[in-house]
Amino acid sequence: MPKQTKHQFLDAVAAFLGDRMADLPGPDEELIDSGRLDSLSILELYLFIEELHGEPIPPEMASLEDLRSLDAAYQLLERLVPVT
Amino acid sequence: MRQATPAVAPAPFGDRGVAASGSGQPSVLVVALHGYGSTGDTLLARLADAGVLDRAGALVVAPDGPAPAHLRPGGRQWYPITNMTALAVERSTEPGARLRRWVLDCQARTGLAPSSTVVVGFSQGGIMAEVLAEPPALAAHVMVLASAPGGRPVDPSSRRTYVVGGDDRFVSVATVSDTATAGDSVVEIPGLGHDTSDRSLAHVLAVIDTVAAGSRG
Repeated sequence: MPKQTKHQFLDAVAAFLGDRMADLPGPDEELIDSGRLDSLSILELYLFIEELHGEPIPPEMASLEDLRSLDAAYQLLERLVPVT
Repeated sequence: MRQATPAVAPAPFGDRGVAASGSGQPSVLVVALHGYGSTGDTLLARLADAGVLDRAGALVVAPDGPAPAHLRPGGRQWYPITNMTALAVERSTEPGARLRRWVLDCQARTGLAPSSTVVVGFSQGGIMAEVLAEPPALAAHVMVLASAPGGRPVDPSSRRTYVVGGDDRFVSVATVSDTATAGDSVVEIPGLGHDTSDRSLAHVLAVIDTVAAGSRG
């Protein structure tokens, strides 16, 4: 399991994005093609996810597709959890 | 893309461009290193807008980073992006070694020594720029724009200046000031975000002029 539940993750991202946009996106809302996130904000979100994960994100495990929605971003976090 | 100046070494990382320019007899080599997701051409165009390419004797080279930027299609990266400074330094070490070899090659081909070389790095390119200030330094002055010191050792023969926007969302002026070493200079540009501006690049121009004057000296 990720260190956060999906609810905790969405709360954390809402707080993060709240400083950057007045109208917060829904979990399945498209973020990139819709222009909700500009190019710098996309990188900021990626680095925020790295911070939430608490460890480096192996570059081969993440792509732009993982930032297309908050649902996709949480799925990235789920994939990053090491199998024990 | 501008025509590469024949005296400059071939592109260091794959076949994507070294962009080079300049006018007159070169007296200062300017190595410009782009940020994550950008390209040498893009940075060169920005420097051209700011008048860097019009500086007498400035030979500007702006190589691409070695790999595609996985979060920004069409752009390049020096290493996979991370917010963890120690990891950024670790990831920059291997491309940094290759960059050093390329700069040495450029200096040999142009006859411009480290004492006549200025490095300008933006953001991730700033982390790479610091590699060129490590002993033995390959530049008289390293200008780091929108990036914080990574803790690499600096050769006393090389000066480092950090130029940071007061509104930069990635890099705070306080962090840069706290982590800079005693010999570094830190300049804040009020109102500037994670970007360059004519005002921030004016500091680059001033350094180029100083090094060029010393080179002609």
